[in-house]
Amino acid sequence: MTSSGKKNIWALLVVIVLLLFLISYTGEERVRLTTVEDAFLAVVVPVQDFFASIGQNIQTFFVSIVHYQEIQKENEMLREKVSEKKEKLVVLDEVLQENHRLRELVGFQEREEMDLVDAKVVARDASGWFNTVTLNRGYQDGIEVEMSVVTPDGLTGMISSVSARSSQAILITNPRFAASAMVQRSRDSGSLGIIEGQADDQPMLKMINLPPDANIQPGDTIVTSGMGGVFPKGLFVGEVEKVDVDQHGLVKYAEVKSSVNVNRLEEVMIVTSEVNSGEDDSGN
Amino acid sequence: MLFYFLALLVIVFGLIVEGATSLFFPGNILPDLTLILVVGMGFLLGERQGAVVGLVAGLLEDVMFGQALGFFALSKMMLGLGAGLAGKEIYREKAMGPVVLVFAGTLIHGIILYMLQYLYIGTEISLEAKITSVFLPRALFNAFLTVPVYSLVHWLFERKNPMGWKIHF
Repeated sequence: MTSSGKKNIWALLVVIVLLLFLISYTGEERVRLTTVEDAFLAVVVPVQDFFASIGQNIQTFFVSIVHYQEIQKENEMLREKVSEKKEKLVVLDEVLQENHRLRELVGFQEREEMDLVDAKVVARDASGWFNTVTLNRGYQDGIEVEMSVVTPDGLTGMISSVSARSSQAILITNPRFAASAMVQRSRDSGSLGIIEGQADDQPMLKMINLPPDANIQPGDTIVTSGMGGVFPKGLFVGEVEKVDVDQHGLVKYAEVKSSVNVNRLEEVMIVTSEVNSGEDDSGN
Repeated sequence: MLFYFLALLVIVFGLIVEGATSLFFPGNILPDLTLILVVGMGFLLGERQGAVVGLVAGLLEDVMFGQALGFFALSKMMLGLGAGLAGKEIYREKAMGPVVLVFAGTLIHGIILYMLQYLYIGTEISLEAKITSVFLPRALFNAFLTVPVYSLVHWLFERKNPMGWKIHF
């Protein structure tokens, strides 16, 4: 082997070692990206946004042609539903007013509304390895790492890195995603567990660390518990499909179907404020 | 200098289009445009240029989509290097070469990433299951897209090919 050939091999080995070191160093969560990464994303993400918009318009055009009659029927059905919902809203408004009055009477603190920032999904990890999406909101819009990402269907993910005008979110199906959750029906400490994404790229989530006597069954709705302070309480996660015990028989686990179709995300909302649940004056 | 600028432009454009168009593919069988570009350019230009293009493309992909810097950089660099070495042995004047390389490259790329993920993050799914359910369909998809993408790469960089080969389809 020539000396330049040996030099090339040594150079390659050095680069490989440096890259392995870089993976270890940057593998932990980074609060803020470097200036170079920031500058690159500041240029690239708006262009991605542009292409994503074109793609979405083209998709909408073809879908509306192919499914014209279905869309028409769906339109009429939705109009009827909107009328029904309007009537219910009037009733709910009255209930909300009554709730405010009663809370004041017994001294409960008000639940704070969540502050939401809408964001558009401009890109998705094409490799399919990290189940991440790129959003068109960054720290200039008040976005920070670990903020929750939601859609009207429920909890969708969490912000993992932020640049000036864009951010990256890991989706609920990402194996690195985990959130404290509970069974909506029982809401007691015995139905608390951890919801996490699975590594097989499926929409099914796994709820683990459930006690052996946990009050949980197929069909139950799972919501976030608010414990840990990362995810607001009460966000819809999904529905239980199956309950079983782990291989040692010590704890239960449940397979939960995510309420969100992560393969069809176009717009999401980022929760930018913390939520306080209602408390009485004695702190219960 | 112009060559490197053009190569960077092609890679960045490929990443942008790849990220945006992957929104419209259901599931996880997505085309990896960057992989096809890295293999094509490595095959055409040699192992050193292939490794450099793969390294840069992978780093940019890490910034845009990855969770740690280095995952895609390492795998794509090895792919570009391998494509450049293979280009010395494979008959370059037929486009079937890049098609086969992209197919094999997608599988190898997936295996490298699986090993890195196993080491650094952990995974419960077996490599065999990943190969049959994800890597193979993705390899077929990428191979299908190779001819038009490689035609474009060849048209852009043909003048830089030191051996002056022309590709016949």
